[in-house]
Amino acid sequence: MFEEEPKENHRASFTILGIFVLLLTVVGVAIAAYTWTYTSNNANSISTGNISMSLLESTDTISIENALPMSDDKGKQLKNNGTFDFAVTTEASGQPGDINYKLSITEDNADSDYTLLNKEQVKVYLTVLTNNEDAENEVLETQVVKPTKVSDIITENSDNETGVLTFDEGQTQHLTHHHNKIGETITTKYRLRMWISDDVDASNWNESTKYQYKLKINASGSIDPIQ
Amino acid sequence: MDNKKVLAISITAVVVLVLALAATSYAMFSANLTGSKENELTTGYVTLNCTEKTFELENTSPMNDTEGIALENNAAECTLTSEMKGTMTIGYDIALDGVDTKTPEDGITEDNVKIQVSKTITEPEQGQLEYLLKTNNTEGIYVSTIKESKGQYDRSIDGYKLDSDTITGNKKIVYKIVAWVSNEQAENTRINDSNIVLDENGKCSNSSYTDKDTCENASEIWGDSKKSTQEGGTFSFKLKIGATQVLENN
Repeated sequence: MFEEEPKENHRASFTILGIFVLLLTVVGVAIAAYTWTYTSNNANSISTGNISMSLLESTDTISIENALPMSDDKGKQLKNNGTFDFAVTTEASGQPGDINYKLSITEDNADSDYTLLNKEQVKVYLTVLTNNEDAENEVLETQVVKPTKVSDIITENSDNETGVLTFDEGQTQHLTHHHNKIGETITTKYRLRMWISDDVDASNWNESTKYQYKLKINASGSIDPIQ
Repeated sequence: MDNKKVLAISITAVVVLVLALAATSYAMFSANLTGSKENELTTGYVTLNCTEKTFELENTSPMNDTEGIALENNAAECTLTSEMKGTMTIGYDIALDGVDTKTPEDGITEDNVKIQVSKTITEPEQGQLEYLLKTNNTEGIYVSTIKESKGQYDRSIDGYKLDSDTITGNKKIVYKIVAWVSNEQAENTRINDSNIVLDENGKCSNSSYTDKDTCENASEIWGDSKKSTQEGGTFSFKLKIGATQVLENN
């Protein structure tokens, strides 16, 4: 009795296994009844070129010593150490369309033995530089940001003491580089001036009062596709 | 031998004899009848085909969804045609294949490229355009979001599935995949003071001049340059369709 039971169990197991294999075979054959696979011969492709933007800053920075309040007319005429030139260049190996950019200023810390002037006391003025086609090596200056107090640029809502320069009406075209040719490089040159506003009361300044104001220029760009 | 045994043997012998006679009697009559009705089996067929339109768009630029959808020469099409004689239900998956395999290391990847996917049944009756994968007439999705989407009928499709459906009878279904490089991801690589790198110390605003004196004499700007580059590249894909018969008992 005890020896026969395992034989019956084996027989049942083999039977069930056999039926299972048979079912799998039938189902397998049924699933494989019709199949079709298609893969493209040709790939679809989309490509863009490299786009870069450079900010070239003159080694000659604004360095005005013993500055006193001055009128806008006088500030606009500052030369040499009173000016800072920089250039924004965009390059595109493809044809990206319009590259738009913004210029901003960031307030910097005063040197350790100086006190930072208030933003209301300092004015900035920006011109765009173009080559005079009628006179070789002569530069033409066109105002793009009128004399503006820094406090009107870097406001209380500004992040990281940075404010965007608002270009005068009719001058915003300088902030767009139209890249309509493949591999084109476009440069726009600017000149920045800064001075102490003439409404600042300097009557309390003396030998021991040492004020200073420092700022940096930033350029940030984005791309608008060709329409 | 007793009488009972003799009787039993005799009865058996008689039964055998009767059976033998009966068999012989049946064998004596035979007839072959052939019917006049023909029963026949002829085979049907199923043909599936994809007629493709591919595109190759060069020197494009990053753009938003509205601009990408309105762009020209950036749509791939597959007109899936089924021709059946007989009745069969075919289940199929359509997917992107060979995604960015040509230039995977460049600046344009599945994280930059968006697609809008739609299908329209054009035969036997013109149907309405249906957008797939949560895309619509103004919005696409990044290719990377369907990377893990596997085939339902073709298990060899292990990602980038666009659609799974069944098809019966004669039909034409047009699949359209519009692709563009999105400018949303480019926000992270925009050119600004946070990602600029030193380009060159001592450089002229006009690259024709290579020293300070000639540069400044030409009224150009001599200084130090910082540069930020948004790397371009190429993104490519093919289409793949896997189809199999769907049995009702499955």
